[in-house]
Amino acid sequence: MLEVMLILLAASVAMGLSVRYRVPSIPLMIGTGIALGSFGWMGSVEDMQNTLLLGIAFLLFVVGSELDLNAVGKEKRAALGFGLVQFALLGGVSLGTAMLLGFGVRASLYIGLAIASSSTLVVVTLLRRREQFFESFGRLAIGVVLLQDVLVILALPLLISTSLSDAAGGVASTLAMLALAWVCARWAVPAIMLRLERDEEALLLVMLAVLFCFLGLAFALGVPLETGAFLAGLAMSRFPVSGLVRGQLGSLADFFLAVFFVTLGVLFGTIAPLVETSEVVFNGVLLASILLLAPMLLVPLARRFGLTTRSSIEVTNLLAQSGELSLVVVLLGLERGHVDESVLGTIVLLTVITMIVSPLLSSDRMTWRIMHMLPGPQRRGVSVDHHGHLVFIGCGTSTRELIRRAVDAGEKVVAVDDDSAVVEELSSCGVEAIRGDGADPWLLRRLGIRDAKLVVSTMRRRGDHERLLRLAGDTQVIVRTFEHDAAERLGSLGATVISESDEGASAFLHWFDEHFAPQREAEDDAASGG
Amino acid sequence: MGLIVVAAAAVMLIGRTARIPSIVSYMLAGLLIGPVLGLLPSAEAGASAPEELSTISEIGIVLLLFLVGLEMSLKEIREVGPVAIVAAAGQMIVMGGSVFGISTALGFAPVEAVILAIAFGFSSTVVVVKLLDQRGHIESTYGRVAVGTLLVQDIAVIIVLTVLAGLGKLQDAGASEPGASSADAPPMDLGAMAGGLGSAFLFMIILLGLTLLASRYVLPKLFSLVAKSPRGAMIWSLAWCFVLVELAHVMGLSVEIGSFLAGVSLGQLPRRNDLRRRVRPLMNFFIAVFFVTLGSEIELAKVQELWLASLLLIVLVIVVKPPVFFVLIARCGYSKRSAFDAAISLGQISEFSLILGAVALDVGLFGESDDVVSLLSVVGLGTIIVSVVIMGLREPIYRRLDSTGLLDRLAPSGRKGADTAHHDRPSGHIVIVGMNTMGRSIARALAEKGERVVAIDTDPHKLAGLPVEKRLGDISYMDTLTDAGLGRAKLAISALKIDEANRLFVHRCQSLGVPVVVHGFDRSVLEGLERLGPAFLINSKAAADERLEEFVFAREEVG
Repeated sequence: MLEVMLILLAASVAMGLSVRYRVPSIPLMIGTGIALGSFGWMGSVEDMQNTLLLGIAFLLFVVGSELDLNAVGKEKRAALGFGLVQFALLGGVSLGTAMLLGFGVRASLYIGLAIASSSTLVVVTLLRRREQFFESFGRLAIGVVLLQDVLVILALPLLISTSLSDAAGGVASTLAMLALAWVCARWAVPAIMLRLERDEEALLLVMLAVLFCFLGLAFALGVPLETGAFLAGLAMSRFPVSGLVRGQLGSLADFFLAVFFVTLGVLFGTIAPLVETSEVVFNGVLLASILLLAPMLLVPLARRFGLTTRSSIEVTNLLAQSGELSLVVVLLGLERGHVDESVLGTIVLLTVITMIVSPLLSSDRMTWRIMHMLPGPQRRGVSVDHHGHLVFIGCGTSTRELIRRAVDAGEKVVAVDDDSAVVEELSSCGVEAIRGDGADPWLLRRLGIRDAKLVVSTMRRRGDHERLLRLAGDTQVIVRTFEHDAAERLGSLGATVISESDEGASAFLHWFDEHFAPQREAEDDAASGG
Repeated sequence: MGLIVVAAAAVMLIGRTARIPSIVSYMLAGLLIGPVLGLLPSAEAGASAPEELSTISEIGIVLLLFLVGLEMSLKEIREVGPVAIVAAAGQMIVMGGSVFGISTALGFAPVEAVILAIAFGFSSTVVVVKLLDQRGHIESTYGRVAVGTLLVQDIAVIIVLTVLAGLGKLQDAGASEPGASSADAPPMDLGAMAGGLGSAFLFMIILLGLTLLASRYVLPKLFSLVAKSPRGAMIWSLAWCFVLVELAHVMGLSVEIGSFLAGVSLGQLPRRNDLRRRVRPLMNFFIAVFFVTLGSEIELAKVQELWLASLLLIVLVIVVKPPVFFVLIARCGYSKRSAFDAAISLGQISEFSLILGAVALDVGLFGESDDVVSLLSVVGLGTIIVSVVIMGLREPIYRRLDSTGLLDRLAPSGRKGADTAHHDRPSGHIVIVGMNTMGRSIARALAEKGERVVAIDTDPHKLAGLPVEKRLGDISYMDTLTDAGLGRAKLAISALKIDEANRLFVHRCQSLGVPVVVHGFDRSVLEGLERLGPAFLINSKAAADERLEEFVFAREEVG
């Protein structure tokens, strides 16, 4: 019980700091774990490894259960293409660097695979917090991390195999289990779970039974348990089962992930005296630098998959960290005796550094700094020479209707959107449409917004609206936004604000009055009659 | 552990068809994989559970007591306090006397008979609360009386455990003297026992004082720091729980006391229901392992050996407990219907009875014999099964007994709870999830129209200041929606901007037959939400664009 208390206290400190300073909790938990381990209060390394195993099982179960392709939307193809190339490039560069640093081939393979995958937990958390989940770069990032998860899991049997036949057997077993997971997800699990949906205790037990059945099967087939846990999660990943188990799984995951990351830190703190600290620090910092500088090289690649410069910077920066799967990969190697404690130390350090830097690196401010350093090709050839025109920035379905009406009414219209399909559609209707980033000051100046009669912006971010308003001068700017505090801020900067939340609420109330007012009147009549 | 979980799930699924409660299923699963199939080390084979399983079971008990503490609201206790104290104390005296008499007659030693007498005085919090929850009766009059009685019993458990802790220290002191052995241990003198009990009570008072002070002055401020992070609050609450558990351990008190007090101290926070929901799955997981392990430790040979005593005591519990509860509750002014329902629900012995037996064995009160623990396991299993069956049949049983006039003869019936309508329970109301700007606007507008609105969010700041009923919680937990009375609502609305939560909400509303309105906050989610068939889809962007069009063209016309 003392160990449980210490682990939870360490996790609490990390959680508190994470909430206070808005940094991911994972590196902080590892950090507090290292501090705890250095005091030598915890149990044996063997106990810790058992705890880690349970933590890894839950971690991968959670990761598998969140494999929802719907979240990737129409970015699937781009995510597949960009994700594969990025994974191969980063993995290859890391592998080569590790070999140059003197690691053996197998250890370098582990390092390469560990660094090639980003943190799903960090990426999802940052996108949710910034409400960027549904932006095209957000969807692409989600697609890429999901792809990375699958690639790492499929690579694990290969990584641990000792011969070609062993590898073939491992892959065949993994594919067989994958097929079983698919069958479970499609038929077996919903058939049971949907009958239990109001009994959360039963849902929990069945969910855990599925996890342990897959772990048992993996053990029997000689497949890594990590793969079994991930595939068990996959069996839970279809809606509505994924939704029904989310609460139950969430509670267990919050507890076991906290235990996992703190224990990992403790383990590292405990074994730290066994490793050459300066070597681990050098290797960790070097590899972290590669990971953090990789976006510079990957931005042109992302642009090839149809993203604007800003989105390319955002997606590559967002992916620039090693993650929970990196730790799982190295722990697997340590368990099999393929890597030593120094590799674990290197990857732990790398993960802590890159995860802490991640919110800063993927921030709006950093994106714009990099934007200024990278002149994009879309900046050439944009020239609008109008006065008294209408500028539309962000062209959703209903906005496009509005643009067409304005053109029909004889207005001079310039439209800007970051989606090439939208730009093509508008251009084919005779609208002067430009593909680009509506928050880019260079582009805004070229659009002549100061000479425009009206600017209509439906961009998603408050910061983008503010940037636009600062450049618009006396031109009237209409912006669409959701939150009231954003509306107040933009209103104070001179914008005419249309509130999505107010309009949404009005639309609902109109519907409500139509459908429920007669019922209410009848109830009132009955009450007064009684 | 995998085997335990898989067996528990399999037996539970089979047991559900026969409406067997999950706890019974877990114990049957333990029986199956332990003594019957020999897949787990069983007590009969002379083995004990592996250390990991013992730790997991112990964590399960800690979390169970923590949850009981979280459920303790001082206001609710005050309301049903008098009847709960009378019913719990009166029943413990009557049952205790009866069980002591029968146990002594069956040949149990006086100490064993005393422990059995005390253990039989408790009813099962987990079983009763779960049954009430499943039937949606926790807020009914009889439900509150039953829960109040259980809470009083829980306090009695704490006192008994404290006494046992005191006795345990006494035994340890005797055994630790140089050259002492169990055979030549010094006879207990009353002064030493009083000292042991006194120190245990002193430490308990100190722990209680510390807890109350923390609850009043420290915890509210501390937890306000993580108000926006439900996950953070859960980890903090667990850390607090285990700090008190460790503190109790250091003071020589039981871990159960520490976790219970931790729950009570957090039970006064506004987030207590959310914490309860988040901790419950963890407790369910760990406690399932506990009950399976417990079942696996049942010795079939002992069951055969103790069958007569078990049978007699099961009959005693079923025949004596409910009537005693009925008389006591009815005499406190409650209607015969409420008294009957509460009494029937409490007709079993508790999981605490088993813990009590195990602790008594641990501190050496039974010497080497574990007959009492085995007996408690068998009687516990038996009474829980029978009481659950009786709960299912309570309507015809009530009608039959009422028609004979027996209930009227047993106790003069009062009026409390005669009106079975739950006047405070929302019904025909509107549930709104997600208090972002739009959710708050809708909640306010509907409240102005005179609608009864229940608003749900995970962030207390977003709920603040709304002129509606509020529930702090996450809709991923069905319990949050049950608390908001979703099944009785006339309309449900989600203003959330989280796609998977919206889809889950629509699914849950539809499975309850409640019309649902959902926020299609992004064009990419519209198609998926439309496919689910909500009554209305709020397309806030399109609605804003209509206004935009008016602005642009009105401006043109003016221009």
